[in-house]
Amino acid sequence: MLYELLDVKKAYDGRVVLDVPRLAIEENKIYAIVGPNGSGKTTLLRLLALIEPLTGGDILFRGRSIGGSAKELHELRKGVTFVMENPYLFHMSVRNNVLYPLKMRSIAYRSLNPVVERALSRLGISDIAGSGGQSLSAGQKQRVALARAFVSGAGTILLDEPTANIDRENVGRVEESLILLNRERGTSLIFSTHDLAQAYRLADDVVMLIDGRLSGTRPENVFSGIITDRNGTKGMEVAQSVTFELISDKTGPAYISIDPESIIISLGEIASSARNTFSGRIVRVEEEGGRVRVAVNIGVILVVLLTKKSFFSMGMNVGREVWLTFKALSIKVH
Amino acid sequence: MGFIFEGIARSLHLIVTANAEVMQAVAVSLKVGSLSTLIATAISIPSAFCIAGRSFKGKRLLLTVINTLMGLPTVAVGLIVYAFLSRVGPLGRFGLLFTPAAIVIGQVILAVPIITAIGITAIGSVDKRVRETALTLGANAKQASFAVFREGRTAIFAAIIAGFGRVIAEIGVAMMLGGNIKGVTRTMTTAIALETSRGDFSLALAIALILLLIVFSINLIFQRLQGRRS
Repeated sequence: MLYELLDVKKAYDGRVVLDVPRLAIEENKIYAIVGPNGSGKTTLLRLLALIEPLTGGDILFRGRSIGGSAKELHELRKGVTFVMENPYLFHMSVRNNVLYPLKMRSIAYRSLNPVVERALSRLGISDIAGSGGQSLSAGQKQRVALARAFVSGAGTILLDEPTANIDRENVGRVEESLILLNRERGTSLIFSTHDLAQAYRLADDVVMLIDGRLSGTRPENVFSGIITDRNGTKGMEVAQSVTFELISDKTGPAYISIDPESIIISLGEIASSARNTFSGRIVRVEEEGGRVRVAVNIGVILVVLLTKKSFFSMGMNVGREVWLTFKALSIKVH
Repeated sequence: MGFIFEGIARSLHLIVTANAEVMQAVAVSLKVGSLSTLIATAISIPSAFCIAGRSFKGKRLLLTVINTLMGLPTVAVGLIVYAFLSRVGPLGRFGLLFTPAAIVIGQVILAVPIITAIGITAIGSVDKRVRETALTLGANAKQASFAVFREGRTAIFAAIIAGFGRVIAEIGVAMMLGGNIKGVTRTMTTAIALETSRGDFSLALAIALILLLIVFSINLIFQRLQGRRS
């Protein structure tokens, strides 16, 4: 096991911001941590990066407690590195920034030149290798920090919103490099994101945090947005021209989730009392036990869970146009 | 007014011709001042790292004490160190009074609070991410502190220069502990005081001009370094 969190608590000025009774994270996998702003994602990553002291409980990193001496902690830290959301680049060239972890680990970095070059080129920053780290844009800094983590040789890389500052055309490049790193070297990756689609695209497993606690349900169909009130009808626009009607006392920023079992899938539009009806195409189908998990793109991805029997009886397949219907009441507001 | 211009003209002549008396005072000042700054830096910067990087009970009080000590009157330091070094004092048997070493001791006491206080601010203002980034990239505690030092080096050098500025320009310690012995403990400041009281205005002015020039040059070099970094 890579990490085992046992009764982990973190508080700032007496306010508990993270409370995880138990969480096990396996080696060589990609994990995504999702959740609204302020839900404790960064705190969790900082704890896993071993740079934040625990308020209570313990974390086992590869079976060893992180509560040991400073020297033991330093040894444990060598196995993990952390890419912050706004990473810091030292006042030195991009190349020297990338070489820094090799110098710290007393690795003969000249022999690793090909590794460094490959990391730079995979992230599309070879042409700025000679520039000063401070003069770069936020997105470039983030890519340099990723390259720095990649060459560090750490078996575990933690990433806080790794594509938050990166322009759209480079997001794919970063995601691809993360997957390659995991496949080629078996590097364990744990990243936080507010983009649920990205979480499912990259991760083997998704962990959801709400208010510093693990959410029990599998975090599917979760959206963040602003609840608005239009003539007494509450709704949240989750994508351009996709607004979910819901029931809530709240207005303003919120997180909502829709139980995949409560969504009705049909081949045509059905007349019902349900307030939410959308059409879209099936993008993915997965079998899970006796059930089928169908992902439909209606402008956003919605996951629907149905029995194998009903799935096959309807003759659905990837690419097929379908209708999704669900009640305003089946949207849970967090 | 005439004597001022006359004084300036003669002082420039003394500087250009590298007058022996002037040069001696400059040499003693630079030697003693650099040595005290060096020793004070060796004490202050590690202390500043210890204080800035930790939170402990009484830290605020300690910072207040250090800040207060920044304004230590030089004559008071001179007097206290004098009491220790004088023949009947506890350190009298070392025979340090009226030697350059005595001035160094006094000046180290003057410089330590300044370099420490400004050093603490300098280190405290280094981005918190520096230390954490270094740690997550495999640095041990010492290497991480070095990373903080390197990233904050401009501000840390400013602290050291402030210390040097304090000791090169002070007179109380040099006068009381050095004794103003020509060629041995006569610094620029004690020479200025002596020559003024003796009525040799232009000689005093020549030394004062050099003192100003030195302080100005150091700050100029420092600003250049700072400019290059930003």
